[in-house]
Amino acid sequence: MTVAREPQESASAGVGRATAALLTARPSTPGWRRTLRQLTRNSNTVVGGILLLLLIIGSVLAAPLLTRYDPLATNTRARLQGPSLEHPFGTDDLGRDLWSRVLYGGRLSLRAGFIAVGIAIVGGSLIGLIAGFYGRWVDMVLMRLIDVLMAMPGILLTMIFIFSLGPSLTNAMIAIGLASIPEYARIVRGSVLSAREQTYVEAALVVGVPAWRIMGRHILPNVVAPVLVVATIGIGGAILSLAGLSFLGLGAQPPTPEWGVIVSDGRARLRTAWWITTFSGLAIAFAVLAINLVGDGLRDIFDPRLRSR
Amino acid sequence: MGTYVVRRILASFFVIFGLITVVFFLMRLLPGDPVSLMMTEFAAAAEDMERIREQLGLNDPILVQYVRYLGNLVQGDLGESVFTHRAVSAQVLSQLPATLELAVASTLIGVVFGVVTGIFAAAWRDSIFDRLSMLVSLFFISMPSFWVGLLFIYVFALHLGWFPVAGTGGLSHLVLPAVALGMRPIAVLSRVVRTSMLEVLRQDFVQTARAKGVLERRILFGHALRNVLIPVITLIGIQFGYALGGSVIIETVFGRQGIGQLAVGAVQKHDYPLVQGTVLFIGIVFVFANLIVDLLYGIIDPRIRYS
Repeated sequence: MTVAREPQESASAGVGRATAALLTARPSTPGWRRTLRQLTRNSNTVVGGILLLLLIIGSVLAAPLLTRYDPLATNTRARLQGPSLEHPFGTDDLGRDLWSRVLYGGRLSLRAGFIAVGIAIVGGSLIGLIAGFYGRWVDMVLMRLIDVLMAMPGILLTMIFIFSLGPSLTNAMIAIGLASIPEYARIVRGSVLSAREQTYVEAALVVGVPAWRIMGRHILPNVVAPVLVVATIGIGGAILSLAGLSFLGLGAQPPTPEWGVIVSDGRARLRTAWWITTFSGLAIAFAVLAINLVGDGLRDIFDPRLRSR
Repeated sequence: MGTYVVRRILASFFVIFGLITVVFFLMRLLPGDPVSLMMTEFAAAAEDMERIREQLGLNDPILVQYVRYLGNLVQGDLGESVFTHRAVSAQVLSQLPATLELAVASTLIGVVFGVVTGIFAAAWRDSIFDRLSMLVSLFFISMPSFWVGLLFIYVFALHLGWFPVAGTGGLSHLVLPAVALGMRPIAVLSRVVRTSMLEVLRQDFVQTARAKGVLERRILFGHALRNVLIPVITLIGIQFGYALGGSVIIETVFGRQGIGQLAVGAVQKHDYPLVQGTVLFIGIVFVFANLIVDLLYGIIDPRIRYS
């Protein structure tokens, strides 16, 4: 059964192939210098993505300098104002400044994206390493489980976790991370399986190096590149999922200035105050776009077969 | 072909059984007592909670619960909603057509527009169309579907009045949600079709065809397109699953009926049996969609049948 779930976001249909190619291709020149050179030589879009991402991260971090409004401060005299110099993104029905809500919301969303992917990487690597390294029935049982978990759309798995944890920003972040574990487990396992075949691993086994040491020193480094590519795109996916869950009331709760919450705030005012929904949604789209552009660039570097010609 | 079909069908049933088991144990073993979560809003008395726990059979050993659950499931009994006391199976089945309609429509939109865009992007490689469509597709992938849905409502329903704002019904109710959900499949498919098309166009038989003077149009839509079908079909399966998952959000945005909206409501209200039933059902639909994709593979590419 080829029940595949799309690796969260983006045009990452080539991830399987990417992984395969990564295992055969070995950089001849020292890794990071080569990567850096290719990243800069790469098409304008990737450079644009990096710049956009830096701009977003920078302005989100510098939020207190870029706005003098508290994202939670209400002001009844400035309700539902359209975009102006004073309020670039307008104000919502409680008179809160949307520019500062979107800025501060970015902190939450970006951080949540990183943490969720972090959870997925740690969990997925652990399972993938164990399955790939021990093989046999351990591998069989774990991989069948992964197959089954991937046989349902990711958001449903996330919703099961939220169901038991209860809706909140932190829980949504954890739930997204947990629900993405299978994807990473599968990638890591694949890389481990081919790394295992290498002579140096066999040699280490024969000499009697303990299993955990072989995994950490000899096998894990092979896994880094494919995971890095998927994880980058995964951060974008996690941000989208979080916004979606918050929109449904299953993630961050109002009045938290989370992007999905703000879009949802604007929903009731769609007819009269288009700016609430529009700008918060644009923030999500541009953040995810920047991350996807960088992810695409990374994939091009690590997988020459898919490089845009 | 016969054994291939049988093998695939058996594998699907195995996955469905796994799905039933995993969902069951996940929902029971995860921290958080469903009944107390359900009751937080009402500050229910301890004996009420005990009664509901008893009613749901949550006090029995977990394996007993599991066997009973399987037994009921075989008879088509998914339990009943804690709040409405309506049978979960009946609710799910009545909502299923609307969700299927939405998922199929958005996948179709994705396939048609995605494949066409991909073909022309590849044919006019490095043209403005190519660059623009690839950049736009990346933007499509990055947009949250619920936001797109809201913008559509704002522009096409509230302002232009071309489509109804919300609800379930005929074609006019389907267009906006289906397109909102179809943006992403369009983007994903156009990118993949473009890449595979470029690969195919470099192959010898295409060169030969060109040398023979076959019309470029025929090469694109006849020779090359056929070879691009395999990745397209894989993606159709994946994107259908995405549409099923996306229905959870889009149905809420457009106030449409469907399993997705049922699932969201169930999670919000902590309606335990309903959550389990909806999740299971969407999962099963996805497994069947993948089964169909696998069988299509076998028809299109004989090599797959024997591997």
